[in-house]
Amino acid sequence: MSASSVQVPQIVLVLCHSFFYDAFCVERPVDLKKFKLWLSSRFIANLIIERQAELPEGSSFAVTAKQVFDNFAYKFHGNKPSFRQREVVDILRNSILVIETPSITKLSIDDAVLVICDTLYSRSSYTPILLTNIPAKLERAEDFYRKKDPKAKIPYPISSTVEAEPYLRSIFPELSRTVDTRMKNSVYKF
Amino acid sequence: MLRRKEKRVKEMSADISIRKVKVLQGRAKAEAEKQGLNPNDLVILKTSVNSLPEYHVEKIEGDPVSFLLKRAKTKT
Repeated sequence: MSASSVQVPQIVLVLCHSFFYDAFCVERPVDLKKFKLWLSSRFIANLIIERQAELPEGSSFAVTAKQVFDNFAYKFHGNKPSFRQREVVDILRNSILVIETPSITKLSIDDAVLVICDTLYSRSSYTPILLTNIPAKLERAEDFYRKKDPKAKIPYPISSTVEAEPYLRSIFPELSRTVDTRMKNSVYKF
Repeated sequence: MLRRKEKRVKEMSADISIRKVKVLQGRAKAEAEKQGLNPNDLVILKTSVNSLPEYHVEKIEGDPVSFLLKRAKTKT
């Protein structure tokens, strides 16, 4: 085991639906703000795949709820997916842990990711980070916690992909360099 | 026609994931080596089980997200 792997905390990225739309959007946005969200989401999606590709079976770096993933998959391929589109969705499903437990799947796509974060946070060995590019998600999370206790605070970080990217780069410098190199050699030109 | 359909169903039930060459084992690793891939290369590993598992290794060129998006656009 290398020294760098010892220092890495057990970060788990919890993915909101907005992350998927930005990361897998084919069109390069013209608007600067949207472009930054797209590029950072694309970088983080590549980082997730890169890291998951070398983790042992059963370990997960990124997680989401079934309804979030299914929602993305449907928008990605529509109701008549081609064989290749279905294959791509299957590949992504194997790079991300998709939670299918009834207690999660009965929730809305907003609440489901908050419950996953809270569950991970409550298990001391994980540090969840909720990735969302929807600014209102923070308010939604505050409302979610204040339902039970008006003074409650959100116990885990909620970040946009633009905010999370530098942090992830500092935690995974070597993997980030690999991702940068691969993105430079992309089949789509940036 | 039916045989083609059956073949497709079998292919779809295959396990498919992205792995790094350096973590592959056994015959999947041998297949990657046969293709001259580097330990740090990313591959799409497709495992289909008939009597013995069959491993199909496809190198990912560039970054995986762009590669997958391009792949989704191609017709089989």
